[in-house]
Amino acid sequence: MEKFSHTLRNFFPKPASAEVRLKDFYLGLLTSIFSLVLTFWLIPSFVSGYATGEHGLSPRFFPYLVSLTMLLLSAALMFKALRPSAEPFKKGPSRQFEPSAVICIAVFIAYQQAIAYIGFIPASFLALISLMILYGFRNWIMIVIFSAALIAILSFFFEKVAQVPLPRGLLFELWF
Amino acid sequence: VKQLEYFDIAWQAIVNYIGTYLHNFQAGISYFFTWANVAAIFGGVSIGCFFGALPGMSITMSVALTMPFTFSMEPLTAISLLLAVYVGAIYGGSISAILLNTPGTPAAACTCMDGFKLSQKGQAGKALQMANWASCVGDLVSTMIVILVLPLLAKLALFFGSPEYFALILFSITVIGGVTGDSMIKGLISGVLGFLVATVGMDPFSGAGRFDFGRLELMKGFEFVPLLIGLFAIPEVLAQLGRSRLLKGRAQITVADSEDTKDGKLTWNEFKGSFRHMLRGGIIGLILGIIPGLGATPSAFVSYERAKRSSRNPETFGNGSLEGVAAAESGNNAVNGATLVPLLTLGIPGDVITAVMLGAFMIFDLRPGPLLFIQHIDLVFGLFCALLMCDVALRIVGMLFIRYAQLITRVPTSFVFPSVAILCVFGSYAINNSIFDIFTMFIFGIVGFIMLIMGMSPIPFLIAFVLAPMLEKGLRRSLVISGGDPLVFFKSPIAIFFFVLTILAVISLTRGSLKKIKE
Repeated sequence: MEKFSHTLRNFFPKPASAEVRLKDFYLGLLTSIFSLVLTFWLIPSFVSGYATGEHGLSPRFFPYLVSLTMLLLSAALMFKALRPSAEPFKKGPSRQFEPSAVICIAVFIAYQQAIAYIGFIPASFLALISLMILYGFRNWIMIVIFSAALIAILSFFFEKVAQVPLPRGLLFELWF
Repeated sequence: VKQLEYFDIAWQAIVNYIGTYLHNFQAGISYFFTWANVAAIFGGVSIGCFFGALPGMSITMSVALTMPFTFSMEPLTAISLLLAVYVGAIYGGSISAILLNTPGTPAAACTCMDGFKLSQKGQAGKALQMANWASCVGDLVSTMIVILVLPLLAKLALFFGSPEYFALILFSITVIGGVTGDSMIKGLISGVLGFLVATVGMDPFSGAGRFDFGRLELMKGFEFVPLLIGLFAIPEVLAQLGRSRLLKGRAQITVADSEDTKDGKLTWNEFKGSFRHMLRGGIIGLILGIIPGLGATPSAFVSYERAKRSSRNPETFGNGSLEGVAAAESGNNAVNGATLVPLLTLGIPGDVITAVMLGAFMIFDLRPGPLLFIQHIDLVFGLFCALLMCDVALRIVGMLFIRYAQLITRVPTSFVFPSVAILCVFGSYAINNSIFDIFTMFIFGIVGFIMLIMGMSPIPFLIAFVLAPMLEKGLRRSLVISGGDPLVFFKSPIAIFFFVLTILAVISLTRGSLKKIKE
């Protein structure tokens, strides 16, 4: 048993820093919960279990294999994070979730929703202005000129050269 | 007499091979040399240099953002354009490395060590010219060797059946998962997640829906391009936002004095003194480029290290050595052709760029692998011509670029990254004219950002996503043929060879030796 645990300990080269270990533990926990949800709910509910042919495997075979592998890897990650080391668990200032990144994600969601209503080109124009402001650029004239020019070039290429019809939006269709 | 007969047969086989090779090359030349293809190469190298020179823009991002513009092109033109962007971006990365001490791409980090020191000494022009020459020579060396042996390797690939492909993919994902990101386990989890996402859509054998939740858009699975753009471009847009705010008012990027002294031009003796490092860098890039997951960054460092050991002036390395710039640049550019070896012969991408290339091939209904050498041999040889043309274009465009390099590296991030985000949306929409694809892109963008925070690399995710259908088919087909006997995987010597390699890779990765090469 001791030999086995020694081999297992040596499987992982060296303990990571406390901050990385905490992150890894959460990641392992999250992915193991996800793989359990997959195995016991998502796969049985949303993948057909009907097998084709005599030795055919059902469509569930591969997703089950993947979720099982994920469960094993997640357990290994948690085990690695929980290994006793000199440094105890503690929270540290690492790559924090910047508030501006949350606002940026909100802009993306609003942009995607706005395309259906105000159309692709106006939504892109507004999104570009918002993002430039979010990036800290404050010269309004430059923002408007640059945004208009970029959107005009991209729209011209995709609509006229690549023949991609860009959506006009619900408002445009109601108006005209 | 028997020995002479064997010699005759061998000689005849060589003559036949050379004859067929030359005939195919001629066909490739006539297929490639059109104005559109040549323009695509020059345009692609220029785009690549531009993107590569912008600090924060990765090579993958550059290629991914160019991809939507290729949908309306001919297959050879489109793939040539992507190849040219790839080649240009690797070189472009050296421009900001030399002038700003900020590598445009991770592969150019090694160039910083000597390039920036040379700039500080007022020899920025020399450093940039040396980087340009070394990029061309390194790439040319590896490309020439690849071109000569690739058709032979493709013949070997014909021995690959379902079990062999299964074993090979398992090996590739293990190595790629192991050498990218913080840890091997996290890399493998990333790969497994990629396999899982690829199962969304129709089952390849029965056609039954999997995880489609009754939505028509999910029936055909996630589209490759929005997923790629989301995973690689959006997290960078979000991360740069944090970085730009952190940098504001606190730190300034040091810009070297770009004014060259009178001897600003590279001399023949300086070029000659570094030539052997360029050749060696080409060979190192070739070897490391073929191994899945390694790519340009380790190649540059290994080449640099070797050059330092063999140099007559090792003390100058790190203090502004032209030999150092030559070794680093030839090493990182030499992987361009080499990474195409596993892709074109087996259909297996060795790194993220070739995964993007595979996506481009699939958009045009082409399947890289041994059959490509039979069904589309003109395209394969056309691509060889494109690779060689890239070197010519890199030399010409690269030299012109040096003049304007300073302007490009100073484009503020507040212009670059918002534009990148908008380009992502246009590109994702253009593939199917579908707003759902934009949604997919944003969702995978957020997934990619979470992965970035967690220290997980998205590279195994993307490669696993691309390879999942092949892996699943290989696995299930083998089991169906063998009547459900899992020993089928251990009957083929090639499959056993790759299983053994996988085990060796796991041991090597856990003991840290492969990781050291990567670092």
